[in-house]
Amino acid sequence: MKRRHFLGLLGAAGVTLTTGTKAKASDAADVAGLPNAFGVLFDASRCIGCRKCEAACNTVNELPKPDKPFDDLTVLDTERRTTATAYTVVDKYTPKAGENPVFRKIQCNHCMEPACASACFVKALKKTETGAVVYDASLCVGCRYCMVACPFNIPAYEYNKALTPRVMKCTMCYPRIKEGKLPGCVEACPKEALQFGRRRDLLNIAWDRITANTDKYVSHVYGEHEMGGTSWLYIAPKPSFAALGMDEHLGTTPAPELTAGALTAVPAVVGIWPVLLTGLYAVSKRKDRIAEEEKKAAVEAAIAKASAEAEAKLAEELTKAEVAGKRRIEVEVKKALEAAAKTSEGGEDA
Amino acid sequence: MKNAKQRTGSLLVALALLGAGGLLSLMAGGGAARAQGDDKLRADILSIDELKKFGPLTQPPVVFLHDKHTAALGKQKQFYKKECGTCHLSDKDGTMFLAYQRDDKPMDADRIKETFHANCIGCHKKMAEDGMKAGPTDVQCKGCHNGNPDVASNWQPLVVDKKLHYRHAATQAESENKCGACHHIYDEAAGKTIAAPAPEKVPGACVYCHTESGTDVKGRKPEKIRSLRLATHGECVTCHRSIAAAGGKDVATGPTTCAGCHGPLDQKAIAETSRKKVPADADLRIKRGQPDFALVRPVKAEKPLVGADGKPIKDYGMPPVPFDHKYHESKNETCVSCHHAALTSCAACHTPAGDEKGGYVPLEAAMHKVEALQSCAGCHAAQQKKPECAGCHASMKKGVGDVSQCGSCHVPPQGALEQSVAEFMERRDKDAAAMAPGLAEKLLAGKRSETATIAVEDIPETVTLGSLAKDYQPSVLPHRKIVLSLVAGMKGDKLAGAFHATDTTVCQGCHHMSPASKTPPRCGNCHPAVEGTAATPRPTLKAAYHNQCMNCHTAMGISGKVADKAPGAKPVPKSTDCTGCHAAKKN
Repeated sequence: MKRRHFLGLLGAAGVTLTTGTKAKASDAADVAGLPNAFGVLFDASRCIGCRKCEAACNTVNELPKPDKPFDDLTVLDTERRTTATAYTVVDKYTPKAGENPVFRKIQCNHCMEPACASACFVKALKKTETGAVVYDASLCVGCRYCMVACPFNIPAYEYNKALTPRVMKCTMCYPRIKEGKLPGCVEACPKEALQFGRRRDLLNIAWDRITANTDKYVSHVYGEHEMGGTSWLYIAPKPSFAALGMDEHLGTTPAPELTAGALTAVPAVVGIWPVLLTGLYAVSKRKDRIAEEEKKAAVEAAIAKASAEAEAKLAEELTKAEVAGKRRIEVEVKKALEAAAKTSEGGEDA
Repeated sequence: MKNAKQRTGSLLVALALLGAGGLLSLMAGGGAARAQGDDKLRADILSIDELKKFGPLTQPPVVFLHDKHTAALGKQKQFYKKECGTCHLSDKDGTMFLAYQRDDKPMDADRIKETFHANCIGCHKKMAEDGMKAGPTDVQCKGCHNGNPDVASNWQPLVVDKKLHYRHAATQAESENKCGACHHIYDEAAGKTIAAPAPEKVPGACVYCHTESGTDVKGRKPEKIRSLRLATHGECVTCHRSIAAAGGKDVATGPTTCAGCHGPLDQKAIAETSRKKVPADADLRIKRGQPDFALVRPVKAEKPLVGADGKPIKDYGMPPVPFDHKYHESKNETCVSCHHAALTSCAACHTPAGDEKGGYVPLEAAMHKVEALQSCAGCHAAQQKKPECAGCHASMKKGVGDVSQCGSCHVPPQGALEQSVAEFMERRDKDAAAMAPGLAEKLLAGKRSETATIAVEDIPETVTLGSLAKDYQPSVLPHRKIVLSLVAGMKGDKLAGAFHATDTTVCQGCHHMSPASKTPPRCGNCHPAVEGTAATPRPTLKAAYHNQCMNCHTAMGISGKVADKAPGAKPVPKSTDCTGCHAAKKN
């Protein structure tokens, strides 16, 4: 295929992206705001690393027993992440040598506008009115885009199951919430390092606590705005959230806004795969650097520049294209988009 | 010694002092640097990064070891007779410039670079040609511009504490103007700085004029006031060297190397020498005519106030604060601890509304700002961080947040004192200043100086916490032992005594937010036993117990340690040691 033909297709994608409605990801749009959604406030200054939350999570979710028992605190000496059999883990950090360690509980943050849900084209992941992001294994096709999309690296996959592997992550104890109970981890915490309640109430409590102890806490509620806000909120003692291994550069744009265009504005099967993949690529890059926004702008600018000239040619191209040729176009477009993305990335680094 | 007294005027230090004797001190200095033990940890690391003010550096800064260079110079008697002059230029009067191989005139980036390159490498080359060990001589940048040096800094700031001040004053005791040897003032008529003629003329700490970055005073001659760094290095080091030069190696003098003042081991040695040289009964007070007691005046209304009934009402809000100045001096190492910018009254800079002079910190905040170490509340809050205090105070409100404590400082005058205080507040003249110390002393007379609590037999010996017992057996709290060990930790602490004003104040560490009494309410009265799904700021009972006990143990640094001195005493349970507090249930 000739170069200008790629550009033509590229232009078509660009036109639909830029002229399409400002739709958010379909799932996120359904739940925008969720004024009464629940959340959990984690106060790292209160956590003592006892692992009672891990044990409770294991029991409540009927997960297999771990190799080492939950009262074995030597586990904390290794940095861990969530797995298909451990929806939550507690990690130990020592921000200042010689001082007491600080602990962080890791689990699904239940984003207000979840990247995983927006990446899921079969809607197996869904943000519910309770605030919990839940998973329906019967819909899941096992593509694992949710794992790529998650800015917090949470969903895990049952790789060891040959026939019915599932994506596994914290459910915020959705079934228990529906019964009016507390999530298992919250109920088990001896120190109320975990507090359950309406997200808006938790924000007030978090800020009251920070204001009353400005010398103790970092003046920031992690999750209030990160990635458009999360149902799980964190406050931490000084010096920083980064000292607890948390990414302080995620930005405040909800993840779906990066992929929303891809999901809603390109209807044709011809176009959806490359665009979706580019969107996902953008999300995963975002984990590394906030400079992603600049890149996105650069990509859009490049696409827009080519679009005017290319629009007419696209129509021409599409009418000409035989059914047999479509497959070839698809491959070429993908290559072109990747090349465009790489070019803009390279230009930015230079 | 004579020199030291005259050395007051010029910008930089007289190099004329440096003679053969200086060489000896240099060699001694080399020894001191080595005595730091670990050569990889040094106090003399200078980072040559002057070009950074012209933009980002293209090479890593050069790590320059000053003591190593001066020690090497000291050994090369024949070759380096110029000593400091080898690296530092002086003007026609013999005043040395502290910058390397140049005067204090501004210089562009290329010339600064050239100065370093030509002189450093040139000197190294010359030494190498003469068959001596020398620094890098080649043109490979990394030889000097090493981004990963194998040395690290253990530099410590130097504080002239009361003992060191005493020792310096003692060496000057015989001189006609002992304060003036170090403290100088600017004389308008003479147009230069002169030795402070009398103790009460001493402007105070060096930092009051010699700010961190130095200042320019328009119309003054010279206009420039050196930075604290230049002033102290110029004056202190030169004086130490001049004494050594005049008296030879038998005369004890202060350090002249970087490590000598800023090395942790040398600082320890200085403290040790002070301990030996300063008699135990010596009066360490730094006297400048300050009062023993002061009465701190709250802000007075600008216009006389008249009540609804037409009668005049008290036009100041709070009673004045009686302040034991002498006692506070004994608890602080320097005047700068409180008088951080000048030896004037706080109100001179911190006006009621806040002013540029005082960094827009208003008078009220200057006294109460919890984050500032120079404020009353800030310094007291810092005292609460001591392990013995931190157990209770870690979770308590600090400073003005705790309004119940206002009366601890703003002592309400009783009886006849009420009239005297009112009179003091009305007067703004010298008489008021004269009556303040006596009045303050009387107001302070009623304050406690030792923490006490209710009679031992009234303190319950144990308290059983069992209302939540489910997975574990009830927790039996050794209540009396805890109270008594807390009180023992405050023994002899006048600050604690003054603020723990009643016998039940110490109880408030745990029994907070409720009226102080011998029989405080149960925790469960306020803290619900069951955690609901509606978040509230008040912890539930389980969290309240755990927070209170565990936070205290952690803050006091006794978690997991044996704190009790009795034989066979058990360690204080760690936060994660459940059965340390409540025994496991047997099913």
